[in-house]
Amino acid sequence: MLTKNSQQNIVWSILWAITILLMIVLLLLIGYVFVKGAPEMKLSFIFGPTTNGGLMTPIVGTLYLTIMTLIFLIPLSVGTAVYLSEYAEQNWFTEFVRYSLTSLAGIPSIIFGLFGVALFVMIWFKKASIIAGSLTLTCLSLPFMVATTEEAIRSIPKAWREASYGLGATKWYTIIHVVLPNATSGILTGVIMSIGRVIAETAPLLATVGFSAFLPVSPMDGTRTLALHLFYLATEAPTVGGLTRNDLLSQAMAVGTVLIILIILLNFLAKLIFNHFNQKVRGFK
Amino acid sequence: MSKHEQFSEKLGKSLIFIFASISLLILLSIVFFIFRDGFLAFKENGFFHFIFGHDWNVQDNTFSVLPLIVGSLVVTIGALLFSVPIGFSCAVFLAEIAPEKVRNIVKPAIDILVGIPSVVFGLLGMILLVPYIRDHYGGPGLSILAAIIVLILMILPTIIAQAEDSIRSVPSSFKNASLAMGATHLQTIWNVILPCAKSGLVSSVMLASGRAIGEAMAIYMVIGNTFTFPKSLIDPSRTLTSNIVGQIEEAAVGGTHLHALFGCGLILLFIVFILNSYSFFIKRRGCRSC
Repeated sequence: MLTKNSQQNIVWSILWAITILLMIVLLLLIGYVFVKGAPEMKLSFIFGPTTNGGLMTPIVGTLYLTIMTLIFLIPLSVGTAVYLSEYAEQNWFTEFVRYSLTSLAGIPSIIFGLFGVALFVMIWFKKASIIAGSLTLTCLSLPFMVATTEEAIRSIPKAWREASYGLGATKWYTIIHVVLPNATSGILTGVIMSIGRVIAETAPLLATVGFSAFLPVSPMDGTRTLALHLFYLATEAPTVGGLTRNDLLSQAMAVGTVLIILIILLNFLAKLIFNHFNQKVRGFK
Repeated sequence: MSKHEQFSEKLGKSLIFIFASISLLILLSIVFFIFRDGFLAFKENGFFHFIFGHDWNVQDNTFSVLPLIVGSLVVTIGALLFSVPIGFSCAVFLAEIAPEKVRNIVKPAIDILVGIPSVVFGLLGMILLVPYIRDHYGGPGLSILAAIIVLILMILPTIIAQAEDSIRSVPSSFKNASLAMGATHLQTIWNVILPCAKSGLVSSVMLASGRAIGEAMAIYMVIGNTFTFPKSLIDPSRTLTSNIVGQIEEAAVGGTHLHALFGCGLILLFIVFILNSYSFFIKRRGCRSC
């Protein structure tokens, strides 16, 4: 019979081993992507035209799509969050809207892809395009953005609003000058998470954004994002002359490297903003 | 209030109201489209045939999805069988045992892993796992086993992050009381902390299974996508999601083919809904007992 302490020591060592092993496996995988991708990382590859196998179109396309998505997403989600927290009466209907938004957040992203095809591609714009893709991504990110923004708005002390009303400010003035400025970092964190989703999501974009390799000009043009480009490289047969399957796979690894670096940078940015916000709140206390 | 103020007040309010209505409209139209086109698939193929049949023929316009449901469930359950014990162990380790220094390294790493695009995991599976399985276990390599392993790696960070949060949220007075009674730290974790964190742990599993069953791209890249019932782990198969991925471009012209994909989506939604309700139920019960 083991003593209680040696029993505990055994379990402790097992837990240490599992965690360290897991972290090593995950780091090795990420490291593998970097090592395989690094030899491809030449300026001519990153900024070369995609029709010759470069990354120019996916980079421009990702940026274009991110900006378009944010243009739709930010006003919609901030507006909805302000409505839910400042204007709406707290009744069953508001609760229903909030509940529906929460459940929408759990829907698999591929279903948003189907929805985007049925509404934006087939009915509204008649073709897969940047605007159809960005509207699809807006629907996908909306529930999360509304929840984050509402939480940021709700964490603002009621006394601040009352102080503003007490000084004679109107409700709208209070929202613009007291509520929203203090919710900025919460909103920004949500925005960064949404950018992360635009960069990482592929399923909703498969049939909504087209897969044109040419540089997009108008929002009605098709394009591809980095993640989509990786997917095509990995699954489609070689189309550019002289390239083998292995060439395409190592190019895909290079795209993967770019993607992982972007995600790490975004995480870092989110943390900076979060810390900034925390310091500000502490300052008030 | 001056006239100008009154005007901007009204303008602001209506602006906010318009944005909120658009959001609500989006919400309703998503529900509307999924249910309308999903039900059309049931109608066009016959409800029982669509769910319990096993043919998927685009030329003849006959669709049914039983192998896809089986594929989705097998892959998800297989991934959960491994990732739940591993994930909980890591969560306990991070929340209770790990020194601050280790935690400060591991936690941010997990946050980053949660955000890594699923296509990257799929690509790794294609390059590392598929050839390995083909060479060592036979079969085409593209298989359920590959999909399960890729999924395990993908959902582990989610489980760890959520489970650790719920373990940390157990009041420290519970833990101290147990320790003061002479229980060891291990006994305290097993008998006090884990039971108290149960509702959070269950919802972390539900969240992860939602992610697993909804994951499309990574699975599509490694599962081989053949429309068959899998007979062993090294057989290729197809899931509800990978079926949609493989055909969505082709079906983007509408008609019965697109409806059939919506039917897959609706079934997927139904499964996710059951998972969510279960975790909601557990959460409420958990609150009452604590």
